[in-house]
Amino acid sequence: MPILKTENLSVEFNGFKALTDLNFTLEKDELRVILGPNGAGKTTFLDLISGKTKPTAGKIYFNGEDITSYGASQIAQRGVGRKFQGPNVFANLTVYENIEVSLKGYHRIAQSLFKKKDKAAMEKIHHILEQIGLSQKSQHLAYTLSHGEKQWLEMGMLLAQDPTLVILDEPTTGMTASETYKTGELIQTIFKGKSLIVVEHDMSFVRQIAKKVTVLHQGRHLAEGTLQEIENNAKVQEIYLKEDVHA
Amino acid sequence: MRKFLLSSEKLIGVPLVLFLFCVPLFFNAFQVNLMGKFIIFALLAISLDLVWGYAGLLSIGHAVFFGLGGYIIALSYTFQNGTPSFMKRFGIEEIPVFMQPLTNIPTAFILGLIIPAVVAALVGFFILKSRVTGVYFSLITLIMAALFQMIVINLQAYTGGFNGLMGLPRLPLFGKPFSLTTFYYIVLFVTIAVYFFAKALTRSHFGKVLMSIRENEERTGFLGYDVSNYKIVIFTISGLIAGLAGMLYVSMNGFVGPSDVGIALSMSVILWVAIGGRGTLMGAVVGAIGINYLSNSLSESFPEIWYLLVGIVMVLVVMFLPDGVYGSFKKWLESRNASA
Repeated sequence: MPILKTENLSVEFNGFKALTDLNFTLEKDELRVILGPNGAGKTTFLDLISGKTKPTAGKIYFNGEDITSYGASQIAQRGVGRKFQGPNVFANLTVYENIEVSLKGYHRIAQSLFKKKDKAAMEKIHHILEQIGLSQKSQHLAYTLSHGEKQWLEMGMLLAQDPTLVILDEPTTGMTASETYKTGELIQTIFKGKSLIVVEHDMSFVRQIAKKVTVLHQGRHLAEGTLQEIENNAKVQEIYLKEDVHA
Repeated sequence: MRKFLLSSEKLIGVPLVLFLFCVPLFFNAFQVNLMGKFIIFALLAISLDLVWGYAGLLSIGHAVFFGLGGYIIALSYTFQNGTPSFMKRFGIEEIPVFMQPLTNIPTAFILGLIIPAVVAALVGFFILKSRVTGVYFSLITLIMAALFQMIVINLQAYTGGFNGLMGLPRLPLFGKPFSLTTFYYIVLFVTIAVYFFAKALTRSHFGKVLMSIRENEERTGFLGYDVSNYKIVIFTISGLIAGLAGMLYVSMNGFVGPSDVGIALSMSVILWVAIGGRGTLMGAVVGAIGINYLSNSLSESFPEIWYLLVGIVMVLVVMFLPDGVYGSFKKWLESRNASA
């Protein structure tokens, strides 16, 4: 059974068709990169599967369960974790607290009020801080971090959330080349054993991590295959040359 | 390297509590009564700080919960001598059935906690479940305050109307009212206890979720938290504390009137919390006691222009100390300790 499946997924904003009849399947443990020029519907697609936006037509299945009508928190509780475009951390909380609040298993109010954090939970937080290289700054307020560090902190929050499907929306925006490379390594090591969807523009980064790629164009599915197949695909070359953007 | 790094909370809190403990020893009854009221205002400020400072919900109607608690216990006091005269004037000879439970003071005391909490829960449920946020939440609570004040004034037969309720005793839970000094210490202990309760709450995972909501509501939802439920719970807890404050207030003040339930008081609480420094609890306490103390001494020394002076202080704080007096002090001390 695929971990994520969409059937004829469509969404319209005031008559504008942001996404049309999208059929998408992601297998367990797969890493999929989504490409497409601006306005292709990449972020809209992520909004739909993470429950931020509701589709006008079509279905979304997560592990076989129909999640089409669920809200963001319900979908998150089922194991979908999302990193937004650009850093989106809790600015006035410490790095440690950012991880802590992301920790899986405290969603219910009773749990958040009365469930004590045992040694295992504490160790998990420290382990995550080590993985993302922010152990030294655990007591710093998140807004004092550099842009790259904030992005990594977000990765750490995703780790703490421990989702089965990880969604990364442009995880390397605004990063230097070396930070980007480090992020690529980080993604491959820390999210091992999880299914991933990554939206990214940076082609060197895509080359570093991609196995299978899906290309969207004007809200429709354009092509799918290995990176090499995609790069040699005439339709893909056409839209990228025509629009003269990216890659 | 300095070994003893005092937290700002201890540095301010300990002397403040010591001072408040000594008040009945050195001051006259009028001043003890006044300081008692200021402590109760601090309790009310704590309740607002929980929702505004931690969850980011600016309630402009917090005096409603305060007033609900206050009126419930005040009605109970007036029922002790049979049907009160303001009711008889409207031809009500018997205490109405729905007010019968208030004839017993301990029952009324419990209702004075439950009813504000239930009202807060209901208001919270309807506003927050329909995803009303930000300024709209504030506006609705503002309207709630105006409405509640009007109801209190207009339902004269049941509330005493514009004149309020007078001659109230100091919480005769066990038959006899407390002496001023005893009641002052009760108020002080209750406030300290609630302070530590609120502190434990904000330090729990629950409290951290609240702060996350304040920082970035959408992101918190994507972590799997049902954001509106969290807001409703803290609003309810806050309503209960405000109700408790209201009951203590009328018992200390001996009087409750429409001005204790409306927009004016709600606004004042917001100012106390803002000037003290929101999201710190101690800031709310410092703000409430400080502003009231200042207003009071300035009104004694400069009866003509004291309001202006208080206003100037407020403007200066907002302009130069956006984190509030205590909040700025805390930040300064923390950065100093970090570099020490």
